Amino acid sequence: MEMVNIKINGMPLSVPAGSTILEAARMHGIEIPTLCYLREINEIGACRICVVEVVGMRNLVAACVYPVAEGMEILTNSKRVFASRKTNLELILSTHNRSCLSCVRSGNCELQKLCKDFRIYDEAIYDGEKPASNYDDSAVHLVRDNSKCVLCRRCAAACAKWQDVAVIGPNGRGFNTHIGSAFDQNLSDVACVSCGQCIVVCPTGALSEKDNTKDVWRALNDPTKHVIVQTAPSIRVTLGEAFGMHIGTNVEGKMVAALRRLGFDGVYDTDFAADMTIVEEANELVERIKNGGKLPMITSCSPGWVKYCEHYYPEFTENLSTCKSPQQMFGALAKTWYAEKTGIDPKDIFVVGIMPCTAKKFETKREDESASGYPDVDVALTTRELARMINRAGMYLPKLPDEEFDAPLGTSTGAGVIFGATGGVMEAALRTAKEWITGESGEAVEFSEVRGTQGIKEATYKIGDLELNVCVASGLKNAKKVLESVKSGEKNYHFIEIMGCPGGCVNGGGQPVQPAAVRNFIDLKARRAAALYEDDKNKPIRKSHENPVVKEVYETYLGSYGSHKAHEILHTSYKKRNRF
Amino acid sequence: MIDIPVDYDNLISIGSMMGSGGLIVMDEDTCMVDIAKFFLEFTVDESCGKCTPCRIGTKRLLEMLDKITKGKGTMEDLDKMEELCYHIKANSLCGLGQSAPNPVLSTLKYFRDEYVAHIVDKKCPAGVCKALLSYVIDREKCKGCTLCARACPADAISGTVKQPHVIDPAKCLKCGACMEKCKFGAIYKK
Repeated sequence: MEMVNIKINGMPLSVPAGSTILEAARMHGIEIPTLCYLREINEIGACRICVVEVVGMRNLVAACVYPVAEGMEILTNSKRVFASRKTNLELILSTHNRSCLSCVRSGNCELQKLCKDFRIYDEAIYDGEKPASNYDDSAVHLVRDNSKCVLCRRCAAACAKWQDVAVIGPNGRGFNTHIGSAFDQNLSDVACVSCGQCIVVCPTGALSEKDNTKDVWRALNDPTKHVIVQTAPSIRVTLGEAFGMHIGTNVEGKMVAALRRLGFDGVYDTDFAADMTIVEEANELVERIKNGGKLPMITSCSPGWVKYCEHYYPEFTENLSTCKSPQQMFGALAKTWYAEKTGIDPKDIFVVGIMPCTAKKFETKREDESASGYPDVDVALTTRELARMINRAGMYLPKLPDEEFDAPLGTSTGAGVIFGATGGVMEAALRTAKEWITGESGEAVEFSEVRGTQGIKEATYKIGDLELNVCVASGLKNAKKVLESVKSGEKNYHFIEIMGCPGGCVNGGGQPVQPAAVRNFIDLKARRAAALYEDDKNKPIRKSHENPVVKEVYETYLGSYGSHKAHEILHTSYKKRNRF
Repeated sequence: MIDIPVDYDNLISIGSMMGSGGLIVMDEDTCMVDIAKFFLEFTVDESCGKCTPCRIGTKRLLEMLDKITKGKGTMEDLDKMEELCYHIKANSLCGLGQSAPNPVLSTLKYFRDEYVAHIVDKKCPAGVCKALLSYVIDREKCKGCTLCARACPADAISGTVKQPHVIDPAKCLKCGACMEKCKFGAIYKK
């Protein structure tokens, strides 16, 4: 690698040619604060917080985009640099609503931290006219409060460059620039897929999930309600982050303890429903292959992906597995099988989902998702909302004891756990399908080809006489590539797993927010996924069809896989949605 | 100053720039604060809104200038404004923001007294800033021809024929139509 010699704050350093000042400084442990910078997708030098002095240059330069050159002398902490960053912050604050006390991001707001670091004493020093700002709470999953927006454009970059959806972006110009949808339409009126990636990259509280915690508190306080909760596979490896624990810490037991202490009547695991999904979906795949059904079959667990498919690729909705997602299967079974088993009227059962995902909020409102006549799931909360409930209840998660899920809906396998990472559904389905097709029961097999955080993974497995071509994609930009290759006939797959968010649920739009300073340099999705695979490895049962409760549900209630009753309860339908 | 050669380096050295090579000649009837405001209105309009200093900074400069032309500025504002000018120049992403404060800085450099007049004396020496001036009829010169009263769009002038007229400052729009019509030079700006 070609190197150049530079000096930062007087220190002689050798750094790779072509790197930016920010990257070069970081390589040598020198931190430069940023606000708008998001590695690879938003390197635009807009906020001017990362400005540094280059000796001999008239103006300051933005470290995030300015490349190093031989002999360059850089000052990152000079008086002039500090004064500039401070004034830039003061200018931003003059357009900000500064309601930090009650802001959902108070404590992990990047703007707040910078203002503290740069000692902004007079936050009103540049006060003047505020730009007209709108508040959009039209969508089911998200609230946008532009009075908190710093116009870093990170949300727009995530939407366009990770997801290839691009339904939000800067409107207007100059002082009146504001983030919104085309022609300032409401978010509910555009083809937003509800993935929430914009929220997790927002440095402030301008974007946040629509808070449904009050609905859950109300249900918990209602003595006539039997309130049960399910936690998605990935929550156990991310919830700890909201309490300052290391990224990738498995807090399953403490999470269960917290939920029980919040007052839920049953603390259950979506992993159980993931196992149900696998047996239904593997059965559907085998049927489609045997009977010449529509192929490739594509997974339907990710509601962001499903909505994307309905908006942007309606011609593929027949390829979607008709299986409900694990969240919805859980709710459907809770209000049918479980209701019958416990003798509780389904109208009194209140099902809460703790999800890594904002699109799950949308999913609970979908049509054809009410097997018992009542909505399968009443409320879907994100990991962040659960963390807020735990905080409000005065619990400190790291100090809670480890407890176990309740029976029967808390019994799960390793196959269910790995649903939370990209490739997990595929691997879980392969574990079951392989045994069903070959009729051989062996040790739990690991399908390492479909693991990992790459956006698109392909593999071919020889199962019995069948050469099974599979593909795994995560992030909708990658999904688009895969769908286009299928459409053009270039690729010929039997089974495709698609997750709406890059890396799957572990990196979902409902997960704890990590600031850009962490996100830019640590592979969140890999660390969180590693914890899930570790959990799977240690499970006594690692194949969905061997889950004893799954067996019980089929033996005592549904009959066989893919039976008429199973279809009524566990399957759903899709529709074309308008793009404009 | 009149001897400055019109070339890049020399123009930059006095805080101006070549631009399209145009030259505007102004006299004592042009208010330097108002002209700085005029140029800044242009850059505020033209700012794309991407970088912080230009998007918000130029707007704040314009607000400060506006405050001064309304007679509400303070001497502290002048220092704050000058500081903000240097900040915007050094921190903006593109040439628009980097040169946006030039008219403010150069008028501050060469015509600081005009700014001070607006702030301390609450006067616009050029008689441009409407908030700081009023139109008055000289009783000695007024012949009572009523031309001014008929020209006034706001009905602010009253008086009987052949008697001196008076302007009601509460109604006056400061449009100057009366002064233009007066054949006797009886109306002046104060």
